Amino acid sequence: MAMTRYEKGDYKIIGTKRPYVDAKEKVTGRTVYASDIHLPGMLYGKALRSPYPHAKILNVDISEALKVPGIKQY
Amino acid sequence: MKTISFSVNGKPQKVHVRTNWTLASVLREQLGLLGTKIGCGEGECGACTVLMNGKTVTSCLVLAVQADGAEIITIEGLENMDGTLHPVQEAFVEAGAVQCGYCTPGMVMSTIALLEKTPRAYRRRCKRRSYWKSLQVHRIPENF
Repeated sequence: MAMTRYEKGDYKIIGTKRPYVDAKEKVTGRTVYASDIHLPGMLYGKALRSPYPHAKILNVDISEALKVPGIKQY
Repeated sequence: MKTISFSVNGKPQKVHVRTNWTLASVLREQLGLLGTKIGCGEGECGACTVLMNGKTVTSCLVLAVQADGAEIITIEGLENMDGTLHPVQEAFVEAGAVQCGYCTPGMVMSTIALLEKTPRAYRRRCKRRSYWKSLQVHRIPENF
């Protein structure tokens, strides 16, 4: 099967460098990322990681955490 | 709580801040300038870079109270009124120097500070030829 070879300059778009569609809004900082979204009722969370590399969780004492003002428990 | 007054993108601002708030969080949460991103929050990644009195700072490591009286320029302050971009932003678009773009505002601010400090830096330091070429294409003056 014969292959057609396209040379640079054959087309107006193909083979030419186009600006990224999202470049302008990204260089202006307008793109919205997940951390830019604020919804009503959002809470802050933090992961408590195990201090031991290999252990079974028998229980988690959350009494200190519950003393933090505004804490929500689920 | 402490009241600080500083200028952000040429606009005088007066904000009540807690002394442990960072400049980045005040810019984002109090002033709503979400173009300044917080990546790592410990000054490593540079996504939060803004110009403070003409110098780059990682705004996640600057306390808001330290910025009292300072002149801050963020990514939002670069665009002209008519919506045209700063030459450095133009160059980023031209060179396709954008991937996910989260840290791009910080990179733009750093580039501007670099070129302001050493106008010929792009010859020596900016290794990406396409990038420095795009600066040439746009005829960026040596100190803009």
